[in-house]
Amino acid sequence: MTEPQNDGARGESGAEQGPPIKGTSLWADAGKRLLKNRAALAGAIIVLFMALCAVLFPYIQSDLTRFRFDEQHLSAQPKPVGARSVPETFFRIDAEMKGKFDYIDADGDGSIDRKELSAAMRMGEFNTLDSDESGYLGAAELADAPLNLIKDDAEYTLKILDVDGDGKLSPEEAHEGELTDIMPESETRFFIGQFDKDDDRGLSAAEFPGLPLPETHYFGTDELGRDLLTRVVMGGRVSLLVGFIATMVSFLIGIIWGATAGFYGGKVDNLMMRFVDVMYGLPFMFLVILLMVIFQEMPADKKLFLLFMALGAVQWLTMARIVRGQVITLKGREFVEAARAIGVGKRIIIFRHLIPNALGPIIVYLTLTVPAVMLQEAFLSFLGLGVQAPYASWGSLAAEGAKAFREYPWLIIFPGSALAMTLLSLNFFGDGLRDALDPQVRKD
Amino acid sequence: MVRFIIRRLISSVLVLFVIITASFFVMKVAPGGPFDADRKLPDEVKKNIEAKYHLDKPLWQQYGLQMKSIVLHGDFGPSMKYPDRTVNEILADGLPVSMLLGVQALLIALIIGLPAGLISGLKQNTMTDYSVMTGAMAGVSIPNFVLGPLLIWIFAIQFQWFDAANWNGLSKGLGPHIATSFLPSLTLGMYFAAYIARLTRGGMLELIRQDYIGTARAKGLSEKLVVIRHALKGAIIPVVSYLGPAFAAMLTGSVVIEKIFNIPGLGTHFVNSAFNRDYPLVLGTIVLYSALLVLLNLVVDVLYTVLDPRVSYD
Repeated sequence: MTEPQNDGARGESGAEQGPPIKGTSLWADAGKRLLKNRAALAGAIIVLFMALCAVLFPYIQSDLTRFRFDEQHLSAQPKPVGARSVPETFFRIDAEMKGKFDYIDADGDGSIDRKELSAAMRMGEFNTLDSDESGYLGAAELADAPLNLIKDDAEYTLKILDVDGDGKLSPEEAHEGELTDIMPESETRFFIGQFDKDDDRGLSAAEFPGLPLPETHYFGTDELGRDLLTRVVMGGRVSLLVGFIATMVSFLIGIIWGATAGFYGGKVDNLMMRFVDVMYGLPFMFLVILLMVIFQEMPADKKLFLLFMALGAVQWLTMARIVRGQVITLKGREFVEAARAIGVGKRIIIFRHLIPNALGPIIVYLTLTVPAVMLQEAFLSFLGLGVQAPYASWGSLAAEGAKAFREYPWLIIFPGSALAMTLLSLNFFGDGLRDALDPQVRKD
Repeated sequence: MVRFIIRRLISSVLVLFVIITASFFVMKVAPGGPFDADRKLPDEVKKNIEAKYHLDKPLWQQYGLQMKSIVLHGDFGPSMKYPDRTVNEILADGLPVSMLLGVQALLIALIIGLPAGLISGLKQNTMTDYSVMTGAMAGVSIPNFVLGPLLIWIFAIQFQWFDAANWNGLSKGLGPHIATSFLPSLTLGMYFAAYIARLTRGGMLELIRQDYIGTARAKGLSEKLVVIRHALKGAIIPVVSYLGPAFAAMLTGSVVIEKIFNIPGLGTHFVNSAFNRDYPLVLGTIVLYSALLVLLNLVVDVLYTVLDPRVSYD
């Protein structure tokens, strides 16, 4: 009789001919079922992608958006999708412009100051928009502009900005209307400061490296001119972190409480679980709201810690119930008896039978807790009680967007969809995991 | 049954007691008070005000007075922010509004959720089933403060079918009320509709395989009658047991909805009073919410035994 290999097959492996029938472990089985569930698989991939973006963001930032999350490009209103600005830190330089020093140095004093730099940038943007090189912007050119808002309302924009009423926009009119103001004078200080070796607040021909190149705001900007794509990615970091840590907090409390109750049983169990029952009757979110309001003046990092704890405390009750249930059921299950009866060692029973079987429902509940916690964090942030500026979470970003969604819909669309998509993916994945791990509760 | 109800009522009182105590002390521990607002008051004025609200007494005495007033008279005292109104008056104004919103949302949730779940369960593993379940998953995943603005944008701004801002209760008649309250109720109810659809489908699938359903079919009942007379009742049981937690979550959710749609309900009062440190009003709202919650849970549990004779609490 051939001993089955290391995967724990039992039973008819001793048949005369043919290879032994391989048993599969609980997890291998579950994995196979999970791979068949396309929705769960897609969910897992999306969540992994989001998590990867969030974790790797500091390392890939200069290739991704080039804007820092708290970098402001002030303008009268949030800039729409497709608007362009010059990033402060990760800028690229158009080296060819170095040769046009005299052209940019409008007053010919041998030094490019902030005014001249800003004007040159403006003219560059104007030329980009002026596709027929007429020196004026017509309605057709506005309709082709990368700025969606203008594109939709080209005629209207033209009418509003066309001060002299000649049916086209001169560079001055375009500047007045903030169409081409991609590097206002206030922002040029940073660029000049980087290359200004002799500290005369201007760049000489030797110091001047060329003009910085503008970058596109793919998600537009918020009302402070901060790049929304960068903020959504940063917000994802915070949202996912809150979801993960608060879930871990609930897991720790729940597993200690539940395992103790289940293990000791009797009076201790009764008392501990009665406490959980009583807690279930509390409107917990209201206490959390109260807590967050009351400690509003706390430093941002301590408050984030409080948020983790508070949200974890809301979730631990169910976790305690599940863990207790698992401990109690497993103590007297037949397959444990059976394994013991055929002489399997204690260690193998614990590691091959008890732990994998107990973990299933717990892991499933953990996966489903993460979206629940993220939703609660978003809810608190919406009320202005969660993550504080300049940091952001998807919830706080969507909350800002909800204030003025009629005028600036992109402010809620992007963070809102990022949040909804992640929650959807996590839910699909958690559901699939449950079906895969416990085919008994599978409702199909 | 009576014993069960009595026992539950006793534990409910205990829960409320814990809540009042916990909220009271959390608020007292917190930095900042209701009267150190923008303008600093003269010391004597402040002293007078504090004496009026018993804030000059030792903590345990404040607690005792507060408890006594709540337990004996059901009176939460005057609001600290709106001195001419008592907390009870403010709550009495807000509660009907929030309740109306909650009940409408629950109705919408049931009207959408139950049939969707039933159809999905009966047509298991068909395209209909998959689309309904995907929709339900989206329903539980889209936060209501994203859904709210979206619905406003579509139905109030683009189509102008509904009014999204001027909640006016039933005072102007049913038509205007529906116009102003449909969107908030739908926004609030969507999550629960999705959840109820999932629960109903689960209940259906479990039941359809039971022996007594087979018996009913075997004795020649039409499929329609089998579903209506036997399966439906069983499928509803998990939904009923969910109604308790659902109502709790709905109360929390209404805080956001009331803010988005500008509705003068309890949720608005609660958040504002917490920000203003209007202690009596905070306490009043929390106690009212908790009492509602505890009571509703009890009702749901009793309903549960009526629907499912297998469950007994004795």
